Amino acid sequence: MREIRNEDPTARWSRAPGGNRSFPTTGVSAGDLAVAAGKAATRPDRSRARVSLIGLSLVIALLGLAFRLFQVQVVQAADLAGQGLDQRLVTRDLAPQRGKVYDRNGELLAMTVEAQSIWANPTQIEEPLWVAQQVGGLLGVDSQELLTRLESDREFVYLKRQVEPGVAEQIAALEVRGIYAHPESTRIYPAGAVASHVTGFVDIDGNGQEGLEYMYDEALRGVPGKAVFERDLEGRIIPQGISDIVPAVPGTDLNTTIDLPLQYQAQQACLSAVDRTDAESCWVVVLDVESGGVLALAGAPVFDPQTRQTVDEDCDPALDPTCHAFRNFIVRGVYEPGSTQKLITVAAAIEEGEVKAGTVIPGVADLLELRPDACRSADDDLFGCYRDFEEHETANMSVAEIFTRSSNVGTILVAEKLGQDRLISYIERFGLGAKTGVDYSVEAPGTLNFEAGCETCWASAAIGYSVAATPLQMAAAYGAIGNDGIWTAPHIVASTTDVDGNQEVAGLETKRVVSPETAVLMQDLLANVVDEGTGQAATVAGYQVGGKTGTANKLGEDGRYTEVTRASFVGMAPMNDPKVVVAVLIDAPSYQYRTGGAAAAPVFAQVMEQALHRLGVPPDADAG
Amino acid sequence: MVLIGVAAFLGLGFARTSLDRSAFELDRLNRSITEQEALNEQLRLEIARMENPARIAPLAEELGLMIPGDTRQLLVDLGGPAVASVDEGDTQ
Repeated sequence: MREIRNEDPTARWSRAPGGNRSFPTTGVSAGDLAVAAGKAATRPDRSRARVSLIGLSLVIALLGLAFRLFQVQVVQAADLAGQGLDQRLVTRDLAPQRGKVYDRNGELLAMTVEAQSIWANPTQIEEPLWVAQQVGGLLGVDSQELLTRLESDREFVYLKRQVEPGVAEQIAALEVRGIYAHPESTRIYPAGAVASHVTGFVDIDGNGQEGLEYMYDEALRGVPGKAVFERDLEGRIIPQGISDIVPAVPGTDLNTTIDLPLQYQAQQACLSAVDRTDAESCWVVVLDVESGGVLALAGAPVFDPQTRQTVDEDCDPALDPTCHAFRNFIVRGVYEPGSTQKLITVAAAIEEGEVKAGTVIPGVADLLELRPDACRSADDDLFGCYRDFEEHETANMSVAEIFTRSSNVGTILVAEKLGQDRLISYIERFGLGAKTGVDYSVEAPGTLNFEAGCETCWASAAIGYSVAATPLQMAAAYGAIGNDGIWTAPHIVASTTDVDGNQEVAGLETKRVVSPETAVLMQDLLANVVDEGTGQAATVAGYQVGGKTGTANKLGEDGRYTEVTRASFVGMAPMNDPKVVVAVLIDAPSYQYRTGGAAAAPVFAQVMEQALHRLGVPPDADAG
Repeated sequence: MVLIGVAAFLGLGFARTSLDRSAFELDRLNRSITEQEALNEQLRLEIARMENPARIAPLAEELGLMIPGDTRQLLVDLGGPAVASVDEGDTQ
């Protein structure tokens, strides 16, 4: 029989006085044995109870699991499935690619490509100074400015947006912790400053701000898409997962009437003219006579659409705020056209049958006073004193001679036969005082100053004062004469092409302003101006050209005319069947070049020659 | 029956795997297309930049070329109307 030990732990370990443990005693009493026998008798009951307890525990545990399973699979099933889906599901906006802009030969003027925007998490940058120096050099950003950004306590700062992929690769090769890149579209103008006055530009986020970019912003922008899909840990689309992709619709492409090589030539001619005449600016517009398409629209100073700054490095923005301004005087600038306006006056008088080219106007002096003693002082042109540019003896002059010599007095005498109302009517018919409708942002309508009670405004208007027009309006007016009396609204975009290749051709807006006979007669008079008159510097070898000079004094701040002029020339060629109109305006040339004949006519000749070559117009057999 | 069941199960698994593999391949190809399209656009941009008259004109001048200047016509009677033009600087 096994020895029954006293299992009472307090009996096995007794505490000795003083707190130290002592070994247990080994003595067994008879009473103890009796108790042990009783306990052995109750063992099966206790085991059963234990088994029951374990079983019960298992049942409870299983019930708990079942409850939890029920909760997960039934009660919370939808929520949990949703949470899982949220982790896998990605929603991305798909940015549409902005439409391209082409010239008439399919050369790209503007396009959008993928670029990289470089950003940093300054909290991860360990050596900001070193990073600023390394990255700043590659990005072309001042390292001190970069350092300021890298030392900020933000977790996201742009270092430079929309850099070319090559630059981003160079930065990635540095393997700097805390410097990252993400793809972003950027607008590029491959022709740079050459076509800047046509295309305009977009802001950093791709919103059209100027020019065609602004005018056609909605069409160019396209329609954004959206992609919803499930992805795995590596970012791959999970097959058979949720996938709902609405692709972005790329923007519409613009096919312009601009001829890029001619645009370049016009811009170069303007830059040379500004240099030669020391003028403030020069503007040239070239129109296709029949269609009204703008073949070139250039100016100087030039403007870089990429940086939105002038290319002229000598320009100090502190001294000249226009360094950073986008200007397009051809569409937005208004000026008093001076003698180029005489085309409208004489054409109106001929159309109305008041005069013919050979009609002699008797006693044309070099000075005319519409009010008594109006010419007492030299600066009183506003009050009814009109002078010819050059002094001459009073003579009988034919209308053709008046036009060729650009006589102010003679033209006013012709206009007097016409009367104010009919003069105004023709000025408006030729498109002055109203927007031409050209597809370009913020066109100026110009102004016709015929205040009630103004006794001399009609005379001023007859010779190009009291009227403010844009160079484009003047070009379109001359285009009407070149087009045998039909005025055509100028336009820059010939057609648009959508993503499916569907082309929409812009409609032409035309109206007859004078009869073909009058138009042809005016063409002859314009040719005379170049052959014998004030516009001889506009001669183009091999072609017979016609045009009219214009020299208008600029108004000073005090409202009186100054010696500073705007010199212009508007003309067309070839005269046997005009194809092209070129208008040139030179603002504030030096005194030596103050006239349209001296400053603008040579630019006209240069641009017209290139235009005729570009259009493949054969030389006139009978031209000099 | 069991054999058919096992075969069907394995076949279904194989088909599913093939489908998934194809889907991943399709995804990879789509990404590749996007990358190639981006590259194509970059190359088009490069061409456009190369064709910029402002770049070509100075290079052409360095090579002795020039923009056509004043022209004169030589009317040559060859039994019919003919027009030819030569540069003013031409010594012919």
